[in-house]
Parts: sequence; structure tokens; C-alpha cells
Amino acid sequence: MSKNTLERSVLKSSLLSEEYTLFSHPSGLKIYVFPKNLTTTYAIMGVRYGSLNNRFSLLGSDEMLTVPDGIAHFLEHKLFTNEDGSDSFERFAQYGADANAYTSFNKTAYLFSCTDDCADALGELIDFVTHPYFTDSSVASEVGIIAEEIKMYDDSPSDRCFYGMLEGMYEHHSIRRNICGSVDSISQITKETLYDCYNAFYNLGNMALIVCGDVDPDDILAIANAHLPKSAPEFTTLADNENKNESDKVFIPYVEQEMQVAKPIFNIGFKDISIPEDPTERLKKDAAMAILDEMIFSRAGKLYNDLFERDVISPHFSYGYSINKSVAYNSVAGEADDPRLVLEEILHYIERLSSEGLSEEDFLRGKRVMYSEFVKSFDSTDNIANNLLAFFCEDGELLSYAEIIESVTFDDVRALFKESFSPDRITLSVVKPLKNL
Amino acid sequence: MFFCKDTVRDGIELSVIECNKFKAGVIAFSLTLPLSRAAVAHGLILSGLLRRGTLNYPSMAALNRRLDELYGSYIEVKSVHLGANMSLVLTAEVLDNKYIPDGTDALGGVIDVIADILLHPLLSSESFDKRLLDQEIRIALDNLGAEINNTRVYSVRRCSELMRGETSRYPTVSELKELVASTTYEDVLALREKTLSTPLEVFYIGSTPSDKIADKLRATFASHPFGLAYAPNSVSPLRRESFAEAREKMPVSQSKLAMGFSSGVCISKDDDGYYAALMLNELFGGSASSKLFVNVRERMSLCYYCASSFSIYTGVMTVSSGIEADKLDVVKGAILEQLEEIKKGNISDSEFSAARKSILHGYRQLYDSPFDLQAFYSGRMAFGIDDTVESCTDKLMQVTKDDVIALANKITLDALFFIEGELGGGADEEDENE
Repeated sequence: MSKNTLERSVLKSSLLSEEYTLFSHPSGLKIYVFPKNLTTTYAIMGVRYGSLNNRFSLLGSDEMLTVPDGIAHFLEHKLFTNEDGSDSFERFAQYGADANAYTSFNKTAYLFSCTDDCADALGELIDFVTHPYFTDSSVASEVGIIAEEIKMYDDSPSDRCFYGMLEGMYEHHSIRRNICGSVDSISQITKETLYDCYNAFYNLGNMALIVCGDVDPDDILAIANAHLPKSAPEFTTLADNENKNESDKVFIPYVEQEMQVAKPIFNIGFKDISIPEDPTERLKKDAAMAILDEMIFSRAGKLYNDLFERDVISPHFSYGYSINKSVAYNSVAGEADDPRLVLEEILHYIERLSSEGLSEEDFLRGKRVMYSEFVKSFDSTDNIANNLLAFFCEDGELLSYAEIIESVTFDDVRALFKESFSPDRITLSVVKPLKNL
Repeated sequence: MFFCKDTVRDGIELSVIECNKFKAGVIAFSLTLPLSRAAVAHGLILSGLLRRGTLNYPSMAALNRRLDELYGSYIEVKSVHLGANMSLVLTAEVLDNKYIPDGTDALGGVIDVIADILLHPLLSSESFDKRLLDQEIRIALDNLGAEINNTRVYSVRRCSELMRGETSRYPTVSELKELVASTTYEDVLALREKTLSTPLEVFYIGSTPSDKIADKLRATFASHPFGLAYAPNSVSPLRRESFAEAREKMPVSQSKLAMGFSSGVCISKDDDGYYAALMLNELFGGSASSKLFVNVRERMSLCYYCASSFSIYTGVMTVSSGIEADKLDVVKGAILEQLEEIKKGNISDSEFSAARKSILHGYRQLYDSPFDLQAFYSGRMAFGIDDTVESCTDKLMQVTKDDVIALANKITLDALFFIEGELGGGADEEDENE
């Protein structure tokens, strides 16, 4: 049983001229209140539970349960239905709030935005997320809706190409499974399996409430107090270790699919096997890799402009680094007549950089862009709230990220460059046009 | 927030919303001339070529590096079509100078780069490499072709083409492909010349005072005489004389349905009737508490999405849904049934109140996005409408249930486009196959 006292701390950044209050509530819930002089208030109730968590044990049991793929996302859909038959979407609409939800690999988020008094909507958010109600018939009726969602994503070439990359990079890791599951897997979901997942992960100690807008921390705390229990129940979920069996190398280096696309699209994945356990170190690696990506792949850089001018790639070109506690990879995506040539050219360029060395001027440029992007992210209550949730899931602190970017040195990036982009850790995923198209 | 509009000098107008709440400001430059089918194609190529370099930054890489130096500033050049006109619009997002640690004047730097793009592009130099033109034509054709990658977007676009009919001043995508393919260097230069002889309109949202921006604009554009004559603009609601339907088969899992309804009302200086259409759309399929969401998706489980959207510029309400191929008639019937409910006046007070709150929420959210504020004001100023966000919300509050019912009874289904997914098969069918 955790302690039944309220703890309060205020986090500040003079660089950003921002601050927020973090309450550790006696119920176990972390409550983040970020006052912001904008019209829209944005609130999220988030859970550290996503599609990666499909093997676990329940409290008091050593038995590992394996649940159907897509169940975290299914649960997200079903939580909006209440015991009295009402739908929380409609309640939010009555309060003038625009509600939504999403499920990712490592989290589920229930959210709303409003431009009026948000007290009722906030109460509703806490209430519906903490009061599950599933029936056989409501589960059955959701299957058809989610099956259509799955088909919609199945028809999306960029989605299929992205998952092709993950399936190529990882042999066992649950990240290779689609967040929504499959038409077959969701048909195995029952109200009992939904309750098992809910009970395993939807404990307030595993959750955060985040409110960003023209709000006062004490007012938000008072609303939360009225809707939350006064103490935290016992909570332990035994995580599975399936993901630790993953090889250092990629599972399949080349994945190809055919779909209705005008020209081939590609995702190149660079598997990263070195994930720091310390959250601050993980954030620093995230920042350093983002700067390195800017130095190598940016539209201001030699590689992009050379490939673009020679028509090797089209302007649709993106890149990014993703890291969390259990998985990390770098990816480059785009459109090209010959994606294999793109990979070849990228590897040549990396080889050239290895012998010639990285440019310090590019490093400073990349750092400047990263800093600017981070500062700009504080212009939206939506961005701030979602970033706070992402940092909560990673045990990090949002405002410190500006200093973390600043602390990255050219030597850090050079060292990172040496250990990244190893040829046996690369998967090329391609979606080609259908032959008869 | 403080809004002001002023003439900087002959041919340059400046609108400013001065506010301190954003960490990045937005500045947009637009030059407007009458729309023609050929100009749509030439505008697409011109906007691509302008971004390829300038005399001071003679390659795309050099231009992008300069923007990175200006703290990751971003400039987008595009050709925008509104009513009878088209505009060349250059929009930039710039970090506010107070968050720049080394004293770089990012806003001033960005205005210089934009002036360079407009007045001294590589395109107009004698040594211009014509291969850039060929490449921009290929890129534009690839982009138009890539529309089939997203069947939802494709179905809605095809439906809107059916709504417009053959006499539209805007080309269909297949016509546009032909026009783009035949664009010459001279076409692009001619369009640039025409564009630069129209008035320059600048819109800024951020913390820099308007007089400072005006001084900077006067100094930067001192050598160029922009035009004085504004192209008159107007819109009228689209309405077909007869129903049009088209279908295509595609190798995809999910079929897509798009239905185009004419409301007969659109944005206008003299008629506020389109506010009732905004309410109608919201009640019908504009949110998760709308009739389409609650009934077609939640109650009947026919789809993952079934939503409507309303264009204030065409007066068209478009319903879009991803469905099983064999459920076309059922879904179409269910959609029309929900519209029928509204026509009969079956709108509860709570539905009406939720719809109104939802639109008001949308309007108020504009205050939080410099891009959206700029689009809101520019989209109205283009037609000489001086509405503000506040006046729009006031007008919306005047709309009654009777207004919505009356409009619903005038609305007509004018077009339907259907993509029949050939890889489909209902969820039940797939279960049996497993």
C-alpha cells in the first residue's frame, strides 16, 4: 500500500519561461497541471499500457497470460461505454468538450480539449476511465467497427511499409505486431480478457492525469480529489520478458509488399540495440540522435540534396529516431523509383562521413534546429500535454529537455555515429506498385 | 490580441495580429490574380521552382541552410485557389526573437529570404538550369498520381469533381496532369511576371510591433513596384442540375463512399445563411456526437468512420465513409435516413446544444494557432468580408433549430462516388476463411 499523502512539486524552466505543478496524489495518480495562457484547455488521462504489453500476470498470480493482439486498442474503444448505457463521447459533447483517445505501442491516452469551463469534462474523464463496463454484446458490436479500422490501415501503403520495417527488424519483439491487431485476433477478445487487461494495467499508480491550459493547479486538484479514491490499492503487474530475446541483428533485411501505389515507397530501419536504463541518459541519447539525424538526413544537407537533384528520391522524405524503455530504432522514409539505390547511397554517404569525419558546423546547425523545434512545441496545449504524457511513460521530465539538448556535445554525437548504422542492423521495407496497375 | 490593417506603401498592405503568447510567429505574403485552368498548373510549377534557390542562396541546400541558421525557420511556397482567384502564398514560421539566445534577428532574416525568393529567384536568372523545370513537372505529376495511395482522399476529390461538373474554372486532376505536362519555361515566367504586378498582402501574427514590420517591408521591397489593382473575387454555391454518380474498382480491402450534397449557401458578404449549414453539418456528421457517428457507426456498426464536412467556399457538404463493398446500399440508406430525421425536425435540444458548442469550440481554438488565424482572416478578406472570430460566433448563436430544418429540406444529394474494394469481403467472411 502506498502512502496516503499528497506531494506537490513545481518544475520550472527560465529558458522557456514555463512551469508546471506535479502532484503525487494519494490515489497513486500523478497529476500534471501546466498553466498556459492559451484559449484551449487540453486534458489527458494516460496509462502506461499499449500494444507492447500483451503478456503479463495478474496480481497474486505467477501465471503469464497472453492476450490477443490489438486488445489495448480494443479496450480504449470500449471504455467510452458506461454502465448506464450512456456513451462518454456524448457527455463530453454536452460539456462542449471535444473528446478522443489513442493507443500507441507503450501507452493509451484518453483526452479532451475545451475552450469553456472544463470542470465537468475533467470529472467525466476521470470517471469513465476509472469505471470500466464491458458486456458480451457491447464487445461483439465493437468487433465490426474495429475490423473496418483495421482494413482502413491495411489499405494504407505508408502504414504497411512502416510495419514491414518493424517486422523485418524484430523477430520476437511485440512491436512487430499491429497496434490494432488483426480481424482474426480481435474476434478472440471477450469481456473477461478486457477486464484482465484493465485490472493488470489501469491502476492509478500506472497512470497520469495531465491538464494544460488557462487553469489553476489547486482548482484542478480539487476536481481530481472529488473523483479519485483517497488511497492507492496494491498494484503489481509482472512484465513479460519476451522482448529481451531479441537478436542484435535484424530478422529480415529486405521486406517487400505490393499494393496500390503510384510509385514505390520505402522505410529504412536502423535497429538500435543500446538502450540506456537511466531515463536521463535515454533522453540524452534521444536528443543526440535527433541532432545526428539532422546532420545526416536534413533538407539542408548534402545527402538529401544530392539524391533529390539526381531524382533518386522525391521530396517526400522524412526521418526520425524513436526510443523507449524497450525498443529503439532510427528510420528514414520516402518515395523512390529504386529504394535499394537509396539505401546504397545512404550507406556510401555514411561511409564517406566515417572516413572524412562529421562537420562541426552541421552539428551546430542540427542543435539549433532541435532547440527551435522544442521551444515551438510549447505553443500548443495539445503538444505540451502529449509530451508530458510521453515523458511520464519514460520517467523523464519535460522541461529539462532543453538543457539536455544544450548538453549534447560534438563528441557525444561523433561517438553515437560510430555505433549506429551498422549494416547488419538495417531493414529496407518497400511497398511496390501492383504489377498490373 | 490586437488586430490592425494598414497600407505600408502603394501596393503593400499589412495586417497584423500583435500578441505575446506564441513562441513562434507566422508571416504570410500573398499575391493574387484571377484563376484560370492553365494558371492552376503553372502556379503549381512556379511555387516549386521558387523554392529551388535564389541569387543569394543559389541552391535548395543553400536556401534551407540559411533557414536553419535562422533557428529552424520554415518557408512554404504554394499556390492557393479561392473562388475566382488564385494566390501565390509564401508562409513562414519564425521563432520569436526573445527565445533566440545569440541575438539572431530571425524574423528580419526570414523577410529577407522571402524577398529574395520573390524578387531574385534562380528561375529569373539568365543561367537558370531548365532541368529544374523538368524536375518540378515530374514532381507535380508524381504528386498528382500518388493520390491513389489514399483512397479516402481520392474518393472525396472525385466526388467534388462530379459536383463541379465540366464547366468548372478549376481543372479535374486528369486535365491538370495534361496542363502540367505541357507547361513551358515561358508559361512560368509569364505567371511570375503577372503575379508580381499585383498588390502584395502581408499578414503577421506575433510579438513584433506592426510599425517595425512595416519599416522592414518598406526597406526590403523598396525597389519593386507592386500593382495597385486588386482582382475582384466572388464565390457562389455549387449546385448540379442532375444527380451524378461514378464508380471505380480498386485492389483495396475497404470500399470508400463519398456523397456530395448541395446546400445552396456559401460564404458571402451579404448572406449569413451558411451558418445554418455549419450547424446542419455538425449535427449530421461533424463530430462524435453527430447522427452519423452515433447511428451509422455506433448503433449499426457499419463502419469505422462516417463523417461529413462542409466547405464554406462551395456550399457542399460531403459525407465520407469506409465500408464493405456489399453494404453500399445499406450505408447509403442509413446516411440518407439520418438526413431525413433532421428534415423532419428530429433534433433534440441536447443534440442542438452539443453541435453549437462544438462549432464555438472550433472557432475559439483559432486563437491558439497563428496558422489557423491567418487562414481564417485571409479566407474572409479575400472576399471583402470583415468578420472576426467574435462576430462569427455571434452569428452562429443566432441560428435556430428551424433554420437548420429549413436548410435541410433544401439540401440535395447531387453526386456520389464509390470505390469498390476488390480485396474486401466482410469481417464475417474472413472469419469463416480462417
